[in-house]
Amino acid sequence: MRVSLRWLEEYVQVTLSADELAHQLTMAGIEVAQVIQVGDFWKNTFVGKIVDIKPHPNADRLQLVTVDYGQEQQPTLVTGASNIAKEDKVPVALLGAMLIDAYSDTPEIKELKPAVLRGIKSEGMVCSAKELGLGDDHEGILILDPEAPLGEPLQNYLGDTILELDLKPNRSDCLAMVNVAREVSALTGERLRQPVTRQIDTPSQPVVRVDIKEPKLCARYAAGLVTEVTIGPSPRWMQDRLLAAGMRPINNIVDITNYVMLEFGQPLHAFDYDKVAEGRIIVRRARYGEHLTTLDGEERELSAGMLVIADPNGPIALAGVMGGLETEVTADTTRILLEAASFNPTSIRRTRQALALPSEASRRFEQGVPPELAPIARDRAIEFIVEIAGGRARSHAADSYVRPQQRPTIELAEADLARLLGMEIPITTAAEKLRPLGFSYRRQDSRLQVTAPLHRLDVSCAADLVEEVARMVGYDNIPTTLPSGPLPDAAPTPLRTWTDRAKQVMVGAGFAEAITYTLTNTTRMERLLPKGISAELTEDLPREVAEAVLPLHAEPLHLKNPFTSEAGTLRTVTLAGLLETLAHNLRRRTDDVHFFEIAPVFLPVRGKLPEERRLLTAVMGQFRTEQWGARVENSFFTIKGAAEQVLQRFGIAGYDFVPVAHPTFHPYRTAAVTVRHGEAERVVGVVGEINAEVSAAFDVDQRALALVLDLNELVAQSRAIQQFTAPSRHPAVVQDLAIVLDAEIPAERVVEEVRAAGGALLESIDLFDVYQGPQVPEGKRSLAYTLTFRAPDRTLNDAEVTTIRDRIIFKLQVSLNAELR
Amino acid sequence: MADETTAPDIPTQLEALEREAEAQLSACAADADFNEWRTTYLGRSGKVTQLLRGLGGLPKEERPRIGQLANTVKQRLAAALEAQQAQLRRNEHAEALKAEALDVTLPGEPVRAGQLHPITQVLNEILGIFERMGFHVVEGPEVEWDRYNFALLNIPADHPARDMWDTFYVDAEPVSNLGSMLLRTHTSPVQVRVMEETPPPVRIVAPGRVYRNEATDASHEAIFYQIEGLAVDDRINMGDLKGVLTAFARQLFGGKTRVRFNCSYFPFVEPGAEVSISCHVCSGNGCRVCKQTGWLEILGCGIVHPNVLRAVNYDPEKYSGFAFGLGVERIAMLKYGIDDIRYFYGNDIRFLEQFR
Ligand SMILES: [Zn+2]
Repeated sequence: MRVSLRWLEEYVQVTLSADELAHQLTMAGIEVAQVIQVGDFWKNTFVGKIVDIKPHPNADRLQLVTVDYGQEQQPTLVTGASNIAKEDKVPVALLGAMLIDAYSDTPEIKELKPAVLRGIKSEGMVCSAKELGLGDDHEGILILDPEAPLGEPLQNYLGDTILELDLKPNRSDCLAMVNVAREVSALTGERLRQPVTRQIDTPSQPVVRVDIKEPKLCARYAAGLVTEVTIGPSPRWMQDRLLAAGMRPINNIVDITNYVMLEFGQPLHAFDYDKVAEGRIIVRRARYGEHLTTLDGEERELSAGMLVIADPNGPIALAGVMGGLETEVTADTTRILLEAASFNPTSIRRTRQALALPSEASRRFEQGVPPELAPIARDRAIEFIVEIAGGRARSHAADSYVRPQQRPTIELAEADLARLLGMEIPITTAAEKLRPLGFSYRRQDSRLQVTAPLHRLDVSCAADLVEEVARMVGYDNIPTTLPSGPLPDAAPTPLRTWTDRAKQVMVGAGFAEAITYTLTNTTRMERLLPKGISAELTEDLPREVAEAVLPLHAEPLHLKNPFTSEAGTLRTVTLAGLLETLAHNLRRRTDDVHFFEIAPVFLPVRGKLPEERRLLTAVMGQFRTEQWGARVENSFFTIKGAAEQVLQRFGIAGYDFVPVAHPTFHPYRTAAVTVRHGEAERVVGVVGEINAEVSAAFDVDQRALALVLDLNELVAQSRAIQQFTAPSRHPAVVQDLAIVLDAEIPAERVVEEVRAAGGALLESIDLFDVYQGPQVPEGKRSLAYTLTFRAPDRTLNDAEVTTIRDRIIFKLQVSLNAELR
Repeated sequence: MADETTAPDIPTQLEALEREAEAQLSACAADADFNEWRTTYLGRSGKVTQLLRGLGGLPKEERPRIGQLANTVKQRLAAALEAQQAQLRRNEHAEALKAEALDVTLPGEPVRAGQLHPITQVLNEILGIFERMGFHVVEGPEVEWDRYNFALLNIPADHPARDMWDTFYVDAEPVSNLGSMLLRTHTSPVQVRVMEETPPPVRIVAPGRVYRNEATDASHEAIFYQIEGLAVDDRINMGDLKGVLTAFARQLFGGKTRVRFNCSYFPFVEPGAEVSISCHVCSGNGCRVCKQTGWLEILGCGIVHPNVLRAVNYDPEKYSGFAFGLGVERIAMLKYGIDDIRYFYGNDIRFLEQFR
């Protein structure tokens, strides 16, 4: 809503500066998005009158106009416009004036300099609306009102300040000038001057009959009638106000309906009475297959159920949304049927949405127009029509108000003000704050029985009244305190706590946290499978991996109304997004790209919200940079290290890495991460090198490594607080053990055997060398470990350690056919 | 008077001997030199001892004084020897260190550390502030029912306020009572979920991802983060809301930050407010960041609407609460001077690494 202060001053005196008024309105909930100064750059521009027009001697298209601008000197100016006549009042800009360059694409203000046009010297200009910044019209000269004061600086006469309101849906009442004026009056204490309307009743007028078939969708329909009107342009002052409000003048009748809508907030519609069959208005739902050509010339198919205004022959308007072309007011119209109605907001909203046809009228109806307003606005408009377009009128031609609504009274208790605001406000003060806003009330002790003014449909409960009082008192005046109530019981949620801890681990391990889009599409996710490979996996372990962290076989949820097809599906996998991120970054640099993300996937559950499983996903490229650019290769073990770090942080004791062949990964460099769950091993994730074909599909042109863990499952298995063990005060015995055995035997087996044989005194076993090559027989490899023995309560002697060591060696020989190296 | 002729003689000699020894010491450069010097001057048959042999000729009462004097000289010389040796060792050591010289301007060894996404960092900072004020963190689902996202928040179907949120709907069968499945447009549904489960008092903050079906540009993303706050008990009021949010703004943006509450509208609160802070860039004088207003709008809030309380079976006559919701990206952008929201989900490592 654009509020012209010039216009506003008709209803209330504005005593504050525009900026201060804008501030006060904003603080009170009527947000002023912008204060626009109209004509702030005008100077040396005056109201002038054309005293003479002559053709330009050297150019057919130009004219010479002599203007009187209240001074003795009457300059002669050159113009290309043809819409002017003697005696017209026009804006006259003299040298030094600042004008908008109408021929420039950008609104550029330029100083008017002397010019010679086809041999005639011009020392000024008569101006178009565009040159003055008053609109886009550059066809002709802006013709001022004949009453415009001759010689007055244009700034004084046409300069204006526009407050551009950004209204929230609850304050649509401020789509009306009088209601904005009421706010200003309440804020500044200046008296409100509301327009007074009266009814005109010329007898023996043709009939208007109104028949509301859908009283739930149309609470009231008031009609007025004017005959013998003359269609023409509306007066300049009205056009100026419409332009200031951002509306285009059309003709006197349409302009009046728009003007009164802007003034009171009641949308009006004018029909050519002679095109309404039998003068009968029927408010009903559209029937299947009905059509209507709307004012914009579009023929529209109406859905059954849309509310229409019809005559006995069919629909003539989309109620509250747009009029029909056939009954439009044209230059030939002599009889006007004026509609002022109150339509159901939901119905209007649905029709507007279905036809994508927003209008000033639909906007107001959607947010609610009180039925009581209809006759007031109608009478106001009829008065204007008679005054401006002439004719004879019957304001009250018809008024159907099927079920008049009673305004509820709302109780406001002094105690509620204190309770909700934290500030003692006497009920009498509250009453004083409500009165200028148009609220009426009865006081009973410390309570008010309040009736809201008809335009305030948003006020329906005590809390609404509390806000009214608070905003008038000023939010700034409410004290600033801290809650004094009891502290609620609260246990931190493990998922969030562990998410934070897992993030710390990953950051510590050198990964950058990414946040990728949760919306994607199936093509982008299916890149995780080599071409032609089914998402349905038959082998147990790969299938368990898929079910835990890569459920490509699950049908994802799609959006009904995606913004783009790229992001129309809720992802079921996270890895695709991170591989996209990896590729994206590898294009800029080839080393040191390590990302992780902890975020959900959405797994559909029939009839319920999807399961939002939170996954920890990490990816890395082939290389990392160490000191001074040294390029070090990342391996399976690099990312496995991160996985182990996470599992250890979660305090998960029994985890394993089991070789797995999943199509997304390298068949021999990938492990399923399993956690012991009672008797069973449960798959909680996967770690490995990405299948080269898959990397290529993501445009990753180097080896890539990935880790995906089901965080929910890890949280379920986590051990929050590790129990303390006292460090032993007794020295350790440290021994190395190197063995040679079949290269096929997993190292994990060696550790298991050593641990089993070592018993409680074997504190740790740490690998320090893996060797395969000429020093050992073909098909064998050597593994070297550091064994640490320690007793918690005594110093071990060599004999004890030797016994254990011999037992370990024996066990390794027997079980794994290993030899001491 | 014999004292006066013989006694001064020995001190003078001692003094001369000390000076001589000092001179010799300064010429010593190796261990052998020091050993020789020690023998020469301090040894059992060294020069000092020799000199003292002449003590026998002194009167008995003079002897202790001269003996003491000689001891002092000996001690001084021993100390000088030690100092000289230490100095020499230091010099040698210094030479050795010089051979180990490094160019300290070469870059240090990179510590392999990643970094949290700036959204996470700002989120954690904000949540930390509220946690210290007794709020605890709760999370809710990103895919929601209409009932929680709208209906229970006093936004019934076809309410004009629904236009405040452009909503993504999920292609799934609506469920009676719950309505359509959608991507939550705000974190406010967590309020309702918490209140449904918990009797008052309640003090929570709910961070999370939210979705808007909007075109993406420098200040709009279809996906972004919000933090919802809710406090309900038998005495919460607007003053408390102002206090909590003022404390929050000052912790986040600095102790001198001014905080302004203006009346506004969100269907689930009444009275409603918007909160602006004095621009931290220009201290409120007007600049490009605050569009010359001196103020930056940072969040929306208000007193929980009685209809919302009623919907979760809280008695609005007995209980009251406040709620607020803030956009995390907006705060991060203000804090770091980021001018395009799309950086956050571009995941460009060169952007992310700036937030180490
Ligand atoms: Zn600023």
